[in-house]
Amino acid sequence: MSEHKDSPGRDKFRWQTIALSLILLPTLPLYFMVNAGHPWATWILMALIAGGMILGMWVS
Amino acid sequence: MLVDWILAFTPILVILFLMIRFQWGAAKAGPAGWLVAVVVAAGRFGAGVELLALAQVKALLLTVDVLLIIWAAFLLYRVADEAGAIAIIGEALPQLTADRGMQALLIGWAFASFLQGVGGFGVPVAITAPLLVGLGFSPLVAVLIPSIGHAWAVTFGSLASSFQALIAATGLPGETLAPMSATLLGLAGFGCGFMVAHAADGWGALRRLALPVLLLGTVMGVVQYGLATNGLWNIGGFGGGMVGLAVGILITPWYRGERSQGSESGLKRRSVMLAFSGYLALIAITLVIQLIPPVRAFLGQFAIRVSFPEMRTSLGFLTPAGYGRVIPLFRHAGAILGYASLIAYLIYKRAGMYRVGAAQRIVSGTIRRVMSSSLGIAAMVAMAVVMSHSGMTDTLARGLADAVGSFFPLASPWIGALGAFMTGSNTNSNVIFAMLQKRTAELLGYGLPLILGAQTTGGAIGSVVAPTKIIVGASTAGMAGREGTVLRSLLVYIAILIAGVTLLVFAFTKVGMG
Repeated sequence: MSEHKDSPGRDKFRWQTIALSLILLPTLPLYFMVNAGHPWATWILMALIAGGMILGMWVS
Repeated sequence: MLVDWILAFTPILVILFLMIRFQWGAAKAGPAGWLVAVVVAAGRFGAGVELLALAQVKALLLTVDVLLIIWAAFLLYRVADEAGAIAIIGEALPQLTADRGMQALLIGWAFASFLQGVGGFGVPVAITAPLLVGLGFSPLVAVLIPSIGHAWAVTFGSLASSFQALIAATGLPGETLAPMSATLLGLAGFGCGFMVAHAADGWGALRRLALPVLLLGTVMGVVQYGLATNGLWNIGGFGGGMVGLAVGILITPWYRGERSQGSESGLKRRSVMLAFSGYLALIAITLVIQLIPPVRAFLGQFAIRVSFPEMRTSLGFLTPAGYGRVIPLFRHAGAILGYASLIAYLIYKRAGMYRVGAAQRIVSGTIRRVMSSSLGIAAMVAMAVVMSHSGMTDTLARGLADAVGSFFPLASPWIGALGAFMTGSNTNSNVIFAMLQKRTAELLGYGLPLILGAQTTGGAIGSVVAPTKIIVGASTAGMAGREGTVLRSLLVYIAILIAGVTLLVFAFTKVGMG
């Protein structure tokens, strides 16, 4: 019973973890891509971060 | 230009609107604010993708700097709570005195401040309100007392995560910001004490308890000031609360009230000491790392240090080249808290205070509790950095400086309070508004430590009336559904406190202290 009760909370936690990872992790290669002058990679990584933000907004 | 000012204000407005009108949490409203900031920065303020990307990297460093402390602070709290240490301390305190006013000061002021120092996150009210109800206080008063009582300890509480956010957001050293912030918060502490006495026992208590209020207020404020201004700000609120609690216990014999049968036995005293031992470990580790130069130097060798090139928008707004936030991994406040958590865990485990599976519950409970606030902080920090690097914060500050001019110091604490009320935390308020306050103060020629001290003091006090905190407090005292009643009563005390801080700030500017 309690497992059923907890499950929405667990799902929210899981999605928030994914959202936070999407916001933070692409930032590491982002620095090197900007400095190396790869605009396409910069755009992709920024899109990932934006995706993380939207996911975070959606699931919270 | 008014249109630019309005557009620059839009991300903040969106966050405030979503949090108030739709009751969104910071984790939901923060990303919305970031998206709006990016669109406005790119569309109106000439920020290119490279600038936005580098701003994001800078934001990552600031986010990690703040999150390390928040995660580790809650870990330490869970280590103690899982061992029953918080419950032991909470049960022992009411037995010391039957004087209602003194009970309120001891539990709702000193103990609540101590809890704010070590935990925060609504813990002070959640733990002490039920204790006060059990002692015969009405549920409303039981929520009011700790809510007011811990307000002064918020900035340097939670192991100073709000203060760390102030440092991170402004880029100013903690040593510069600490003296004025600690002064304003320490003086606000007296107000908190008198208001706790008033809420507990009416006007008569103000005169009857003036001496303990002045004594405890002085002790807590001075200890917090001493720690904060000597580089130990992460234990500023905790140290102040702990020493205040100790002094409060020492003076209870003069305010014992009518009964106190069954004073604590030797066994009980021993278990209370054991309960505190985890936090004593934190003090010891902090002192060793901060005050022994070879240890400090050794741990300081391993640091994350990222250099950034000059950044310029297409409209010409320039951010000079330089390092982002430097994070000394093993000497960071979060790391110190991590060491303390481990030692506290070993102490409590050796004393047989844990049930089977405690370690797993501590870790999972910590991760679950901090995830939502981490998401909100990551988004809001990123938003604030985008705004400052694209010139939006500068535009806001110039508009504000033109509008309020020499009255700006009067507005500063209220801006901080408003930010905390809207976003639910002193940390979030500092992240969003500190840079704006700093820039406005620079334009108007006011001292940055004073204005930023006013920001964080207002934020600390304003945070206790944030709806999220009121909901937590009301639910633990059996007032769920009557949050509006709590808010109305609390607002009167809080408004008087902030008005007092405003007068102090104004007076400081007049005597040349800012």
